[in-house]
Amino acid sequence: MSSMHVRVRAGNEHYALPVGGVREIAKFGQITPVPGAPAAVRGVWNLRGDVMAVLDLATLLGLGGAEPGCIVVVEEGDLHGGLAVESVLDVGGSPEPLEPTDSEYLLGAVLVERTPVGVIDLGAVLSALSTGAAQ
Amino acid sequence: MNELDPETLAIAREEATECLERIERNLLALEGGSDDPDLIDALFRDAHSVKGAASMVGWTQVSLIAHGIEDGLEGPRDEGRLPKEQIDPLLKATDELRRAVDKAGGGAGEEAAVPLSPTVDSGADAQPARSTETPTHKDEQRHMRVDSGKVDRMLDAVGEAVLHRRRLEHIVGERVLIAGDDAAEEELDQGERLLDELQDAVIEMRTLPLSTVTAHFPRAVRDLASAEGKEVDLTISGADTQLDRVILEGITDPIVHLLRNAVAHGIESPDEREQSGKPRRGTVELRAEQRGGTVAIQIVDDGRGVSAELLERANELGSLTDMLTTAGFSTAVEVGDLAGRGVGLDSVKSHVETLGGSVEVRSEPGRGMEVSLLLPVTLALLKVLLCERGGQPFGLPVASVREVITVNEAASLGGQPCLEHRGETVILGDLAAMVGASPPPPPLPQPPPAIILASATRAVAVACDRVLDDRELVVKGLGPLLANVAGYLGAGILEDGRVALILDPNRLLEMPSRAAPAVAPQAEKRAAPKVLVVDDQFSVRQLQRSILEAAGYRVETARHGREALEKIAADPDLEMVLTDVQMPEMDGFELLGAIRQDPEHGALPVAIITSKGSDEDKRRGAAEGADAYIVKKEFNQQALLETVGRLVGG
Repeated sequence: MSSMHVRVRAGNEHYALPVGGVREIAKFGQITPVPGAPAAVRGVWNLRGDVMAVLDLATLLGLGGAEPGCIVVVEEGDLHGGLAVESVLDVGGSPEPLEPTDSEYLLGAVLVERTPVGVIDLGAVLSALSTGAAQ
Repeated sequence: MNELDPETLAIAREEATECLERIERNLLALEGGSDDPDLIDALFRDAHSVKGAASMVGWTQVSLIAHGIEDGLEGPRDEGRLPKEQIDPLLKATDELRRAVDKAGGGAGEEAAVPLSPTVDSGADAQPARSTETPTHKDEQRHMRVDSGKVDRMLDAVGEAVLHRRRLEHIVGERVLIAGDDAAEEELDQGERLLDELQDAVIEMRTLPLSTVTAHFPRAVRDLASAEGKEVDLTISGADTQLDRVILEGITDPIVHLLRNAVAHGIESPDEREQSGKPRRGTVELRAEQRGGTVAIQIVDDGRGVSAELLERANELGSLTDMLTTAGFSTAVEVGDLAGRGVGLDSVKSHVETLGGSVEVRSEPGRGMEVSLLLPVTLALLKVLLCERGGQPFGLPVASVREVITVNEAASLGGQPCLEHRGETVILGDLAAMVGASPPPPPLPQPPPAIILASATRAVAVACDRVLDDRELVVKGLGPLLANVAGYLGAGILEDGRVALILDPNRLLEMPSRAAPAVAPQAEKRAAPKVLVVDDQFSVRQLQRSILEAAGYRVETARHGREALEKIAADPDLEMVLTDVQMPEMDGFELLGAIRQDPEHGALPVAIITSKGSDEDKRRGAAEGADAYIVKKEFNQQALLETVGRLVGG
């Protein structure tokens, strides 16, 4: 067992977010769409007075899937924002080493109880909009 | 270099003090037994920095003492060892250096600290000295440095408290009213007043007077005027006008640009002025005044203005403002030397618009030109008109709203719906389509309400589902993730917790013109050459920046060679590099070598500014392929500008 991760479900698949980058987990609330923003942007959200962008993890990863039920507030460096996911599964260690993948948003993939889990690269996800990757 | 502006001097002094503190610390560490050769390197570098900065700002004594210290450290640096017996003399020299800096900088020196403010003397009768007050004159100007982030967090918290109070009133207000409980009602009112006061106080903390950025303007204007062979007086009025810190930072460059335009292109040569019956000295005025929630900053010159012919054409096409602020205008219209009047006005406009402001230009041929920047006083609190489209709330700055109407009759012009408003034809748009909402919301109600947005030069009607009320919102940014999304000034939080996007009226006002034919054909525009200034000292960077910018160049800066390489790789606009030699991380020669080996930027002109001017330095520079040398001791604007002009051919 190694570093701790929050496992989430998005686009019918499983993904893991490093615990150090997760600030809090909230129920999916009222989100204001931002016309003109990239498709992966769900909109902006008011978390106790802080207006933050909420990204749709499934859309960013090019997946479809059910409507989001949770927002995971994540941060990396100066950037922070909400990630809309279907649900949060659990918190636990994930085995290493990672299998490489070709997604720019993943550090790699692991098998947890025979289910493939993509380990999210938070830095890449949060800077996706500024680098234009998600436009 | 005898009349440096106080700001540059203050920076130089602050920096020298920092270096001094570090020198002392490092000397003490070495005395305490450390044998880290990096400490000796750092000592050498700091002494060198003090010397360099001092010679540039003309502090001869400081420069001499620092030079002495530097000399004394040269041997130890090469050997990587500083003998203990040398430390005490070095510490003494450092004290001497500090005294010299204080004296030159006029800061902490004993004499300079004597307050210059007149003592209160209320009349002829000799008042007995009020002994309780004597030692407290310092309290009058006691300031506290507070991180701006802390003020913003406080503002957020106050904003939340305001919303909370509104929710509370929403829940209990009606009950209180029905119950006729006067005491409770009074408490609710009192709460509102207190919170409003608190909010105002915090917002005031975010504002600063315009004078914080105008200090170096007179000098920049004077230098440019003399370089152009013109005589120009700059007068500044309303410098105490308060503006939001963020706005102040954002408008400094546009103002400098406009001042430069006025001097370079507006004011005529003394002879030409005399011939047209004007005083030989031209006048450029920078005026600022608050008008309600808006601050107007005007740059007015009494120069030649635009030609009558140009003005006529502008009126045919729309307005002078539109014409001059359209990208590519300046080279697109061939009107000799008047063409320069539009240089960069498009970028001034877009700059000001990102701050929620607008630009207006007026000119009388032969009489001069007036450019007005209209800016909000604060970005923190904005009066907006709320409306709804597709169930989503949007805010529009009230300052841009002319009227709210019901669209009973719409016509069509060139396929674009429009309506008649106060005798002019105004284009009508659906808010959802204007912002690009997808999927499109249900159709508008019939007849729909519309908000008429207007600037000085155009108007547009924005149709929505319903118009709510107007209110003051605490404006929050959309955050770094959405920094690239255009069209919004920010967002505000409503009582019910929903987020309302605040629309940038300028974007909506531009809608019609996007469809309309362009005012002027886009011609290839040659922007001012961009120079990269590399120096580890802020004061030196600032000094060179102000000289180069006053001469019309664009300037980028880097703190050392490594940063310079990053900037060169990232910015294809850079046309030359001006670098210091002694710098941490990567020095000037290493930078030069790295540039020459770079297949893409190998030909970039590089000028080296050296404090030594030794033949060895010159040989090394020549071997590495330097294009020019400027010796710091002989440093003057003329030499710098000549070298830069030669290398970029600008």
